[in-house]
Amino acid sequence: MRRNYKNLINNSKKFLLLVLSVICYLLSATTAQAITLYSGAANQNVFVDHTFLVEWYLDTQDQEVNTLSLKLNFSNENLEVIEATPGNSGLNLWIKTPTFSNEKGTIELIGGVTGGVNTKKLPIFRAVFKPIAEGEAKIVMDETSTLLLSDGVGTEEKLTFNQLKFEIHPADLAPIEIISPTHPNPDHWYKQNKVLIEFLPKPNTEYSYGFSSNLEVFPDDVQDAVEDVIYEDLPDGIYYFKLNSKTVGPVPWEEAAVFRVQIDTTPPQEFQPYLAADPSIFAGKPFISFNTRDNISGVDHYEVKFGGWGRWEKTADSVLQVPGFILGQTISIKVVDAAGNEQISTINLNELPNQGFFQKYILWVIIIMACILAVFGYLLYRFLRKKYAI
Amino acid sequence: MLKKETKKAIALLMVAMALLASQSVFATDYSSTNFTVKDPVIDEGTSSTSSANFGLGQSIGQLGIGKSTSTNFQLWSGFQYFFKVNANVLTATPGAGQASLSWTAPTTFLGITVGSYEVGTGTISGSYVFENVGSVTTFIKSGLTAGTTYYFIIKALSPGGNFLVFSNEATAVPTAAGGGGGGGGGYGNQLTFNGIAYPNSLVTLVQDGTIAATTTAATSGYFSMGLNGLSNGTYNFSLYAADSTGNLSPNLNTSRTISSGVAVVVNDLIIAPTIHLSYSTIKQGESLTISGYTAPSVPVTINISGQANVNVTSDANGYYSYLLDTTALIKAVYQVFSHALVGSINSPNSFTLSFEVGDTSVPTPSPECKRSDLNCDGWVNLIDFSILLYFWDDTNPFNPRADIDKSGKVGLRDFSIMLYDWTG
Repeated sequence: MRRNYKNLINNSKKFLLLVLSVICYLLSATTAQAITLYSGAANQNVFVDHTFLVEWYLDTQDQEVNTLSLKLNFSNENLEVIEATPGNSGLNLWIKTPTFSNEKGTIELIGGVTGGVNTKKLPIFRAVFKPIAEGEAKIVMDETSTLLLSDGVGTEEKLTFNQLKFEIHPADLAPIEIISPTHPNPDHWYKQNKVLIEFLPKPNTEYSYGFSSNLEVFPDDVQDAVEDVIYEDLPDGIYYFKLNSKTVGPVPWEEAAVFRVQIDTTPPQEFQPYLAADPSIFAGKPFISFNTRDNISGVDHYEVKFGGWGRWEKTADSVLQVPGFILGQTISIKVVDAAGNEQISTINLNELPNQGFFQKYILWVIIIMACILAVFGYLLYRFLRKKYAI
Repeated sequence: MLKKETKKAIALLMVAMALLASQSVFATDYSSTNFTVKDPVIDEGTSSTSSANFGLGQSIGQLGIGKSTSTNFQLWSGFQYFFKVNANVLTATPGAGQASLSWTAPTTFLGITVGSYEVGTGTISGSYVFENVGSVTTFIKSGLTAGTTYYFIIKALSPGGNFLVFSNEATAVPTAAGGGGGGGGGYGNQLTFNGIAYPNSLVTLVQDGTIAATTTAATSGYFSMGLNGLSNGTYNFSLYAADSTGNLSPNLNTSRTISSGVAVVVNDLIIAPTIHLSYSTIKQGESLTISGYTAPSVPVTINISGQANVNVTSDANGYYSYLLDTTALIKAVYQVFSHALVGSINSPNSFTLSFEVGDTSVPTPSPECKRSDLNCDGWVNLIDFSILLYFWDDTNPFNPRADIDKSGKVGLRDFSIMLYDWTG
């Protein structure tokens, strides 16, 4: 009996040791955290008919990623998207730039980073929303969103996103109106880096204001003079003028209004278009391919001009077939960012691939044909004149 | 018989055509996108030889063992048998009234270490005034005259202050103060990349998917590349090297944020080795050669799935190889990759290759085109992306190369693989 009891104690000790070991292992085991999509939209008070900006970022959690296919669903009963753009996105190649549907309540994009990236804050895209009805609005990530690692085989990695919730307040609760004669529309980008802010103060009200590129920075508790505010020589970026107010006396400050200013004075990055031909596309005819980034406001659109005498034409494509007939020896591509800054790159058609004599010397052929026609026309005139004694 | 006016008209036309034809110079157009002819490097040979256990320093000739010095050089005569130091490489980037100097730490052997550096500055090649800068590997020499050519050299010293080795001489012509930059955009910023690739290899810097700069690494494998005139913002960069057989390394990726007036220097970039297998399928019992290129004279670890790691050393040309006896390997598919230890820094891994141990031997075929190079021009760039975009979402595309992962459909995974293989 004593022996059995001893065995029982020993076995129990062994069992406890095993259980403790397993627990310790589980506690000490480190698991890779899922890659996270997050937004810089926290702590915004939103009001009906007052637009607000949301920027999205990726934290790759020490992993190298290169491809993102993202779909967001938003409450389209009280929220609509005004604009969704790459902005200063770190994704430099797009299968599908950010597009939205207010009918479906979706924002979608497919883009990638050549060579991959590992960072805690990779800008993905921006969207400007307009609340259209009071209540709670949500933005959630669709389960079809996909993130692939930069590992040479496109391994899929889990992507997480904490849904965004906004409480939309009635329009009549909207704060004091702030205007800027230099930057009147908060949703637009301007090349002007001197900002003038104006607001109409209410009687018996004190104000404190601040101006920062950080949405999380709030004005201090020191009263500021009620006057037009000027900020000069501002670097490119997005700024928030925040106005706090309180009635005279020992009462706390409250947020009165926020006004967004967007400045971009820098052209898009220089780029080199490619002129190529491949038998598998465009029936082997030459095509041009171009792509670049803008570090601040983002690429708004491209324009293409075929030939020195051609017209600039806007295009949504970054791959275009070269027309068979061009007057002139160049193809020019202009990239325009959201602020209107431009960058132009030109291809010389002397390097046109798959060229035939006709394509390269089209201008000379036209001139020669014109001369031949002129000669024959003259001869015909002489013949007719003689024949009919005109 | 033609009338006089007709003759005149035809003569005029012929003159016009002759004039036009004389302008039609049929220049011979030719281009090459698949190879690069580099100037042959006349290598007088390294100044030292080494094995695992000793290094032989250069012997100039001696009356006896000892040391001679002058202002500009030191002579170690005799057989220097107890340590060796490889020359480091210096780059000089001009600035407003100054020059930014950056150099690698010399590779040392058999116990000697670098204690400090002296920067030599002069306006005549080979003649310098030295100043000790401590153990840093970057230095800004200010107070220089704009427009004047300055010559720089780095002297490495042991902890005891003894001379170890000189770097190469670098030159810079400082600019006038106040130049460059401007506006809220912050143009004029500088970014420099310094690192180690393979001896005399072509190193390519890709900025946001486009080739921004190329350079040829030194015989030590050291390279330095700079970009000027960048506007403020965040950029993604990739670096890769091509070895002498044309194999490319995996991309080495980094992101940098540029802000006004800041010169950013990125040091210690180590390019991953290349790797090649002599056979894709090897008959059990025969030998398979695993080889590639990396920095010169460094330890290389070869990792074979399910097997113990193999350690080899690259030669002075950066070439490493290992003959794998497959007698003890079971018939299966194995994965292989390598990495090198450069100084105290482990390189990233090479590409991972596969081989199968079976009943026959099949040499590794030379690929017609590399994966993701959809138009087979030797590059994975915007043209290939354009082709991929053209066939996006296609099942069994007309150009089967667009289906990079051979899944039967052109989609996200193909896009990801192309981004990984991107060369710009």
